[in-house]
Order: sequence, then C-alpha cells, then structure tokens
Amino acid sequence: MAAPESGDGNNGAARMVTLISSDNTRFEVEAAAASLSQTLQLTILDGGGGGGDGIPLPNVDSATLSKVLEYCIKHAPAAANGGAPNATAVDRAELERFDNEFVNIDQSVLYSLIMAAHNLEIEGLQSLVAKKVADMIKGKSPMEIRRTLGFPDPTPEEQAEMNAHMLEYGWAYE
Amino acid sequence: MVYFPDEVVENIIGFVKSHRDRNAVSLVCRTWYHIERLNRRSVFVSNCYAVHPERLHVRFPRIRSLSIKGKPHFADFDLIPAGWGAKADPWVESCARACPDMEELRLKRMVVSDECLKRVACSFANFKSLVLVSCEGFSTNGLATIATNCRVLSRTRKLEDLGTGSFVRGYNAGAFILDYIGDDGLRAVASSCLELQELRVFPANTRLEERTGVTEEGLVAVSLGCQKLISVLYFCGRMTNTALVTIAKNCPRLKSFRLCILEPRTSDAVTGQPLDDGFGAIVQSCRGLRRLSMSGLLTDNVFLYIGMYAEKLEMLSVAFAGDTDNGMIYVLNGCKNLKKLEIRDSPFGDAALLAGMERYEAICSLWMSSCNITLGACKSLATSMPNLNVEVMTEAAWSIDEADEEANNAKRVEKLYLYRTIAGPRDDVPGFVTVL
Repeated sequence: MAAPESGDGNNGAARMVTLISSDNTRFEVEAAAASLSQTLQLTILDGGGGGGDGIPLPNVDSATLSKVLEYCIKHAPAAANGGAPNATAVDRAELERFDNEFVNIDQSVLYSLIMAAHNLEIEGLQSLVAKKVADMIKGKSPMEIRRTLGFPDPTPEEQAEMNAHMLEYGWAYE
Repeated sequence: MVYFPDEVVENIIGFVKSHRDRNAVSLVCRTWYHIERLNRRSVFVSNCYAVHPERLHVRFPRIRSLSIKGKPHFADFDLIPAGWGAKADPWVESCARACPDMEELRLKRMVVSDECLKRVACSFANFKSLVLVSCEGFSTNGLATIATNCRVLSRTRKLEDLGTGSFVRGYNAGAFILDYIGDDGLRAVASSCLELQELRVFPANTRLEERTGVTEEGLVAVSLGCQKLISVLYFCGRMTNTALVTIAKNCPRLKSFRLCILEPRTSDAVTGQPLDDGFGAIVQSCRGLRRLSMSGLLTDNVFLYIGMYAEKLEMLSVAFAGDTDNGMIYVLNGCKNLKKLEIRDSPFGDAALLAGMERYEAICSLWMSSCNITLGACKSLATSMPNLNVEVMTEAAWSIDEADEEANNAKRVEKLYLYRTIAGPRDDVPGFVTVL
C-alpha cells in the first residue's frame, strides 16, 4: 500500500508520512492521502509524521487503519482536485464502485471503521459508513433496528419511555 | 456494547429520509430520540386535530418544512359542510412564533384565509414554497400578498392545472390526464411511457350522458405497457373482473390503486357479476398495496379477500359496498396496518362499528357516512376510548334530546368521524358537529 521511499518535503517525490497504529504497526503513506483526515492534516501541515517520528494513533488498530488508508489512497487524487469537479464520469463511477465494495464488510469491521472515521475526521468516509448503517436500518421497526445494530435490549425504564413516545407520536406524524 | 458518539448517530440519521423510517429511528432509544427530533427538518401531520401546533414545535424545534392535512378525505366528495373547521390559522400562528426559519408549508383540505396568507408572507424571511391542495377561503389578493412579500413558489391545485390528454409524451414519473384522451390515448401512453410509475385519469365531464371517457381497456393497456406502475387513480365508466385480474398480474408493484366507476354499484360490464373477484385479485397480487379505493357492485366477499390478503393496507375507501356487518368486520380483523378507513353509503351498523373497538387505538381515523350506525354506539365508543375524538354530524332538524336517553341512542348518525388525538377535543366545533 505505502511506498517505502521517504520523501523529505518539497523536492519532487511525494511527501510521505508514517502512522503508527494502536498495536504499533507502522504505515507509510503519502501525506496527501493521510491529509484526508482533518485530525492528521494539521499535524502534517506542521511538518509532523515524517522520517522516524511517525504519528501515533492510539485509538485505531492496524486492521482498521489498513482499511482506512485503503480508502484514503483511493480517494486522495479526487480530493486533491478539490472534490474533483473535472473528474470524468468513468472516474466517478469507479469511485462509486470502490465505495460500494468497500463497505461490503462484516458489521464488526464496519463499526471499527465508523469509530476510526469519526476520530480521524475523514468526512467522505464518515458519510460512506453512516449511509451504510442507514441502509441497514431502513424499513425496520425500532426493535429490529436495535437488534440489527446489536444494541442491548432497553432497560424497562427506557422501554417505558419509548412506549410513551410511541403512544403520543408514533402515529400523529406520518 | 455498541456505542456511537452523538455526531455519528447524527450522520446516520441524516441519511434516513422517509418519515416512516425517521419515526422508527426516533424510537430506538433515548439518545436517538433526541438527536432525531433536533435534526428533523420536515414533518408531516396527517390530521390537524391530532396534535397541538405548540407540541409539534417543542418536539421538533428546527423544522423547515411542514405538511398538514385538515378535513377528512371525503371532503373531496362534498361530504363535509362549509364551516366544519380545519383552519390553517393556529398552525401558521404557531409557526410564526416558534419557527421563523420555516421555508415550506404544504396544506391540504384546510381553510386558508387571506389574513393567514398575509401572516405567512410577513413571518418567514427564507420562505420558499407554499403548496395549497384542495384548500379554500383565500382570494387572489391573498396570493398576491405572498407573491409580493417573498420569493415563493405558490401552487394551487385545480383540475385545470393537471395537464390535458394531448400532453402525455415524456411523462415517466407520473401522468395526470383527463379522460377525453379515451382508451386510444391511453394505448399511446402505454407504448410511449414504459417507465411510468403514477397514472391519474380524471373525468373531464362528470355528467354521465355526455361522457365518452375511458373504459377497462385503457387501463389494461397501460398495465401491460407500464409494468412499473406504483400508483393508479382511474375514473371510468365501466370495468370487468377479467380486466382487474389482468391489471393485478401485470402490475404487482402497485402501492396505491384507486378505481372510481362513476355510476355507483356498477357490475362487471361483461358478466353482470359483482367486482369482488377483480379487487380480490388486486389485493392478492399486489402484496405491497397501501391504499385502495373501490367502487362498483361489491358484496361482503370483497372484504373477506381484503382482510385475508391486504396485510400492508393503510388506507381503504369504500362506497356503496357490502351486504352485512361482516364486510367491515373482515377488514377490521384482517388489515393489521390499517390507518384510515372511510366508508360511505354502505349497510354497516353498530355491530361492525363496535367490533373495531380495539383497533381504533391504532387507526388514525374512521369516517362513516350514510351507514346504519346509531348515536348509542358512537357514545359507547367515545366512553371507552379516551384517546379518540368521536364527532358526529347531524342533519339540521336533528337534536340530541337530553331528556329521553333511550330514544336518543336509537337515533341514526348520518356522519361519524373519529380520530386519534393527543390534543383532546377541538375548540372550534361548529354547531352541526357534536363531540361525544
């Protein structure tokens, strides 16, 4: 995924940064890709992450980070074009295909991605995973949604509160 | 345990668009309830008397778009006298106070005065769209106020605006057509609009002797050519069971099927039989059917089919149909998702009405006019069901005599409208309406 050469700034080769997962795996990746993360972008702009330093990401394990970077590398060129106003239809279709395939994953992986996208503030990925969850819950009842998402059953108190809402509102607003 | 930060939940809910799904999402847990209500931009109130405007604004403080329905649907057939209610004023007032960022108002079957339109024009700085459907009470002056005061799209819907038969090419999503297009015109639609999802054919002239109109053949042609049809509203002069069976087979995706044969109790044009089997085929084939309006000669059998097959049915309109109480009872027992039931000129009586007692908690509204129900049964419903408003409309000479209860209870109720509400009895009841 990440090229071994380590560019040192502005002299031609793409600048590389190193990210360190919670389980201490090092990922070298182009700064442009890592900068899709708003959180990382500031550090990288300040010159961080280069050489032997690396940026530690204590909340993201290596499996998840690898997946996140797969997304970032794929989307970095389009993002560099300012949301890709000049992208061809083919490019857009290819990204869409990639996205659909990308979230076709186990729920546990999806949840890790959701948290990583949130913590790293990767806007496109946040939307992608949120949309995936939304698609999973469409057409379902509240209880089915809880089960689908693996929420524990509500406490009796919470259930009573929801029942009250349902009595009052479940039907008044279509 | 799975835990999503609020911002994540907000993102997820942002992709849940339909009101139905939003309602489900809001009942998942306490956190989701609050995040959903604070992020709801658009609300649809199916009955203006079901909830107080203030309450709506407390729950959804950031709405931009509000749709409200007023009078019962049969108002479209002149069954609701003038002055019945459903004024838009309290809603507009409340929006003006609570929600100055409102951008869109959609009102259906409501009374909208010029004064009310003026309030709309002056209260919402970013107002973009006013949609009035089957509304009354305003003049062109009122609309002019809106037009001069805000950048607004103002649409009032009248039949004349719906397009004419000669203008059908290019309609894919929906075609609104007048029936002088004839069956040949519909054949043209069938061959040129293969993606058509919604078809509405209205009568250009309702006087029977002057009608040419459309028949079962036109609808069969459309069902064959446009198999993606989801919604049909069809006014016609004649129909057959064979045609309905064919339509049911061709268009299993139908969610809404409203057939209006102009002359009541018209039988199968070929066999002279009731149309029970034809409508039975519709409910049996179209498993996603949510809305059904029936007409023609219909016996209790059709209700048996509906109760048996129409699991997802939410709104049923019945006119001049059925033989005994059983008809209505089949529907009440069978259709677990029924929200609106409206019946006119049918022989259902107290036994049928009271058989649905437990169902009316889940049903949004029930309308019955020119049936066989008595004041006693309506009173008994009202007493047992505190969450329902039970309103009866009486003929002019008819009064509730407090002295003789037994005689009162035996009196026939011409019109009954009952609906669930959290707002309690309404405070604008006209003289000809009694709230029990």
